[in-house]
Order: sequence, then C-alpha cells, then structure tokens
Amino acid sequence: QSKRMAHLNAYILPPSEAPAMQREKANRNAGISGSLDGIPIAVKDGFCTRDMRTSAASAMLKDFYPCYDATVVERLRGAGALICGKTNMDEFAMGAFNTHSNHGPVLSPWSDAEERVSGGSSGGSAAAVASYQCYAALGSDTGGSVRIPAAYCGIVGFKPSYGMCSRFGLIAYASSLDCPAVLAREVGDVKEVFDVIRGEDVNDPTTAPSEDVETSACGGDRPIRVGIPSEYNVEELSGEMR
Amino acid sequence: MLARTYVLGARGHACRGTLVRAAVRSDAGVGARHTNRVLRAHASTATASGDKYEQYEAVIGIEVHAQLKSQTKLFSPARAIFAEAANSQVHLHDAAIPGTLPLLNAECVKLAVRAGLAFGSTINLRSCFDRKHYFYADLPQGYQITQQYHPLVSDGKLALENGKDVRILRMHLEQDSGKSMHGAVPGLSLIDLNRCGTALVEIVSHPDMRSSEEAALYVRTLQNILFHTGVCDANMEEGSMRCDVNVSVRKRGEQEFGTRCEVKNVNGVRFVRKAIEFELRRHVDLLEAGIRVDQETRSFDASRSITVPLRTKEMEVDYRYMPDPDLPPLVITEDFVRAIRDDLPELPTEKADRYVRELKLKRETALAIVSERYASDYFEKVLELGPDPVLAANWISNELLGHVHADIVGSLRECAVSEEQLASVLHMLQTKEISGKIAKQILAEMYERGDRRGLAQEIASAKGWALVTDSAQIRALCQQVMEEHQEQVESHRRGTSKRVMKFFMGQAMKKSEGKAQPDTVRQCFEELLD
Repeated sequence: QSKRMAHLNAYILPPSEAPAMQREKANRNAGISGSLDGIPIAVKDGFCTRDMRTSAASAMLKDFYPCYDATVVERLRGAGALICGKTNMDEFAMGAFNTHSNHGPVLSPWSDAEERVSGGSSGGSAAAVASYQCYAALGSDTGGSVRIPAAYCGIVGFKPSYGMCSRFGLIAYASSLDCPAVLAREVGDVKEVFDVIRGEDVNDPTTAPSEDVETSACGGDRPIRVGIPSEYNVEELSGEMR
Repeated sequence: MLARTYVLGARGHACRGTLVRAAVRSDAGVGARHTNRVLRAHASTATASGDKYEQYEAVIGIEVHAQLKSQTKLFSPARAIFAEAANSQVHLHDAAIPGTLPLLNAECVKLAVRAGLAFGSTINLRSCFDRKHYFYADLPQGYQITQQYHPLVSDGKLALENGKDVRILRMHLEQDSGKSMHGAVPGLSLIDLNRCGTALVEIVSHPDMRSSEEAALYVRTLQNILFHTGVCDANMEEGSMRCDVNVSVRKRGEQEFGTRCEVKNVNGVRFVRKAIEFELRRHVDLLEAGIRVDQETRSFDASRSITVPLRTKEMEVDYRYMPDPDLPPLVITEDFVRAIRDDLPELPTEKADRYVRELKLKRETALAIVSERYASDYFEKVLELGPDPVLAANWISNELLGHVHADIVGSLRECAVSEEQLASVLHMLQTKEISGKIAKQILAEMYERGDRRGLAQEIASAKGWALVTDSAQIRALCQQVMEEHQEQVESHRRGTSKRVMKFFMGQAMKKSEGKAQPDTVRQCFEELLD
C-alpha cells in the first residue's frame, strides 16, 4: 500500500525500512499481547525512536539516531504496536500545511488533478492514515498541528489537554503548548491509541498527576452540545461549510 | 615605608601600618614581591598627589556561586563529582539531546534551603525557574536554567568578625555550565560537559562592604559557613566556589553610588582583595583625571594582579529571560523547611562558642579552629583520644597548622600527621615524658615522614629523645649527684644556702645530658634532702 501511495510523500522513513515491520513476520507469534498487538502505527518524525532515525524533517538532524524512545512510543510498543515508520512533517513542527520540510511537501490523498496540501505540521501522519498506510498515527499539536491535517485529510485528529501525554522524547517546539496527539480514521480507534499513550510520566514534569485528571462521563442518552465560536463564520467559508 | 598612603581600611588611620603588614604577610613568593612593586609604584604617584586614594571609599557587592554538594546534578541524574575523566558524567539532558526534559533534584533544593537558613533568610515556599539565554559552546541547551524572578531564598545577613553585618539580597538555584579549554590542542577548543548542569546556589549580597579587607572577610566567613553546614566544599582553588565582585567608588561622605564594574569569576580570597584594590585605584585615577568610569564587565588576571576588560556596556548580552515552560513552579511546605531547620549542622560561630563554653578554649583559638577547613573535624577526633582540649587546640592551631600551611600540598583532610599520632605526642607532653621542645621535634619528624604511622613513643625512643621518668634511675642519679657534692648537701642541711636546689638540678641535668625528667628529679631531691 505504501508503495502505491509513495507519491503522497507521507513517510520520511517508510514501512519498508521500519525495523518493526521487518520483524513483524518473524514475531507474529512472539506472544506479546497488548491492546494494540501487531497493529501498525506510524509516528511523526518529531518523536525520538530508538531504532529509527529521527530528523523532525530537518537537515540539522539528518544523522540523529536517538538512543532512547519517547515515552508515548515506548507505551505503544509496550502494548504490542508495530511502529511502521516515521512520518513527514513541517520542519520542527513549524508550519500548518506541511510544505516546509527537508523531505519535500506532503500531498493530501484527496488530491486529484490538482495537488492539494495535506495540512500540517503532522501532515505525513494524516496522509498516511487517510490513505490506509497505517491503522493510526502519532502527531503533535501545538497550535493545530494535528487538527488541521486531520481536517484536510478527512480523518479524526484528537489533541488531548496539555499535560495528558508525556512530551519526553518529543522534540520541542513550544514547550508550554506541545501535545502528543492521535490521528486515526475512526473515533474509537483514536480512543484506543490514546488510552495507551496517556498518563503521568516521571520523565516529564509537566504531565498532570493522574489523580488531578477528571474525565467527565459523556455519551449514552445525554445529548451533546457542540459550541462553535461565532468568529469562525468568516466570508471565505464555503457555503456547504456554513 | 611601603605604600603608607595607600590604605583602604575601614578602621582608619590608626591601623595603617597593621593593614599593610597584614597584606604583605599573607602573600608568599613572587606574586607578593610583584604586587608590592606595583603597590610601591602606585604609592609613589599617590605620595606625589597626597592621599588621593584616602578620600575615596570602595562600595562592594559580591555574588558567590557555590557548587552544591549533591550526589547528582540539578536537573539530571548524572553524578556531580569534581575532576573525573572528561565527559564521563554527562546525561542526555546535560548534552541537550533533543526531546529530553529537566527533572528537579530534591536534594539540591534541601541544600539551598539549608544555606538560606544558615544566614537567617526567608525561604520562599513558592519559587520559579527561568531560562537565561546566551550562546556558548559549553552551554549545549543555549540557555541556563536559573531563578531570575522568583528565587528560592530572600534576604538574610552575615555577621562579620569586625562587627559589620552584610545584608544578603537573595539566593537562588541555577545550573553550572561545562568547561571549555582553548588552545590546548592547536586550532581546537575542547569542551568538557562533566560540570554542565551541576547545581549552584548563587548568593547575592547588598553592596554593603566598604573595603577590600571587609570583602575578603565576607568571602572567608561565607566560605566557612557553607563548608560547615555541608552545603558546599567551598574550595575556591578547586572551583567549587567562585565570586563575581562588583566595585564602585565614591568620595567618602557621599551618598550616591559611583559607576559599578563587575569582576567575574574570581577564584581566591586574596584575589578578591587584590581585584578590589586594583579597581579602586583604577576608578580613582580615572575620576581624578576627570574621566568618567565606564560600566564594564572585567576579569581578574591573577598573574599580573590586575583586572582587564571583558565586555563593555554596548556589548552587554540580552538574556531574554523567560519562565521555563518545562518546569512547574517549585512549591515546598513549612514542614519541609522545618525538617531542614531541625537538622541544620552546627554553624561555625556556634561551634566556637561551644568550644569556649565547654572546653574552656580561648576565643581566638576556638575561632582559629573553626575557621580552618577540616580543623574542627581533626580537633574533635583528636579529643576522642583523650588529651587536654586546650593543649590539643593550641597544638593544632599553632604547630600543626604551621606545618600544613608551609606545605604546598598540605591539608588537614588527609594530613601527613594522623590524629592518633598527634594525640600520642600530646599524651607524652602531658605525662611530662617529653619537653615542649622535644614534642615539636617529634611532630616535625612525623610530618616529614608523612606515613601517618609512627607514634610518639616509638619515635622518641628511636631517637633517644624520651625523658627518663623511672624513679629508680632518677633516685640513683640524685644520689650520685649528692655524693659528688657533699659540701652543698651540708650547706643545704644547715640552711645556709638556698640556691643549692638549683645547683643540684643543674648538675643532674648535666649528668643525664638533659634526659632526666626535671620535675621528677626535683621531687626526688626534695625527698632525699629532707
């Protein structure tokens, strides 16, 4: 699938080169059983991965091979997930269209005759998920970097509250705003991945202690009210959106 | 003669000679001779224009950076040890590897709180960490984590021996940088990150000091307190404590402050004194010549005893301080502070008071012992072995320290003479087996050997220095003397000569070649003659 979709440029380190995928056939019966057992998940190239080059889409880090895993990556592996590659992004997460990358821009899978941007900075993650190159992907959201590409690529992008997920191993952009975040095709898939990576981490002093986190029960028979700021209603908005 | 006109003493004219002599005695060797030459040079110009330096006073504030004696660094678990192999104590975070985050070390907070309590300061239960940005190869992150806006400790004071109280403005935690060496290998600068990230406490004083001696006293007193409370090794030669000295001058009697210059990274008490003296002269010379003093950052050149410019005001760096977003505010509780207060080690002045009160030491001796690094530990260990405290204190502060100071590598920490050895010397002294003079010889012999093994008894008998105290031998000696001088015995018995005892003593000493124990001999004679 990745080979067919290679033109989207979603990956910096594609599945064909990801060590976990190469081992997958050998490890099929290795006996790890976690909630994400054997599931391929792509990781934005801003997260440190022990066995894969991590460049944050920058020439400055083109030879950076971290000796440790980001906490969120470690937790995914701990649940049995296969890290199937490192996805393209705006360099150091500085961008909203995924056009500023040392590795070239990412195309939205919805591109037709016209090439369309995937959105950014987690554009590679969004494009990979939308084109079925992975089950879900990790991204990071500082000022919309997961929500924007998710919207552009027509998938689900979820940014947790700051402090819900550990930033240890995430190459920093704006330390008081960065959030590891999840992209997937279905809300349920997002939740599955989020439940694995979330939570306090001793290595990140800005994660919220578990006892301080309140989750409100929702769903069931209570109707949900969604608020949209009236400022969003701009002239440029297309009719169907409005 | 030496620079009579150049004196900065806060104590005034009466102390002139003393201060200058003190300045000369505490230096040794080439450095001193050079300094004296420099002083003489300035003195001759000063004499020509009258006491121009006398009309001014220096206004001095000092920032001390002290390395905390924690096991690991301030924000990483790497060990914080001095002088290991280069780049052997570097954690990922110290090297600013992407994605790493700072993890606060509670032990460092405790040590900093302890330092604050030792100076009677206010401990701020809520403090914050900020980033101070500047670019240098030995600062991998490109910023130092410090506490600019909300320090851990505020206020405090340090009482000096001369009666002055120096107010402390604040103390805060911050990271140390790595070390860079330029030119060791041609064309390269070498960076050692072992020290990078080590915890420092920065202690900032108010500009309350008014002379170089006072400033030196402040630094020595502060050093001593930090050492005794276990906060810092406070060894300026090794770099565990460094000073930035801020100096301005003004005419005596003026209220306004002059322009301040900062001399950075002064790493010796005598260098603090010399740097201030040089700056005072430099500022006064400029002012007297009608030139404005520029605000500058300077550094101290120890080899020439002068300060040289480092940065001018135009080159001042904008540090772009900002709260560090990776670190939440530090919040400590009253209980946390109370526990540290309860465990506070004895302060040097308290220790000295205790020695005076309980051990009956003279105040000067007690102060000498608490002022010398490791002396009080040594002293208390010696005391465990039983000698008289006053005797022990005198011998340590005079004789033993005399040897240590004369020895370039001398120190009381791993002293050439062990506590057991010294105790054995004192024991023989107390039992009068040796005289004071012999005791000094034995100590010198011990120090020379430096093997921390030979006890006084062994050395004394090996060298034949021990006095004879055996009563049988003494009796035989006395009787022999008396036999040889019957007339004197008769005159004593008849009561016609009072100087006979002295005569007999002399004879006995001569006969025994000074080996007989005098008091025992005297006692014996008294018995025999009566």
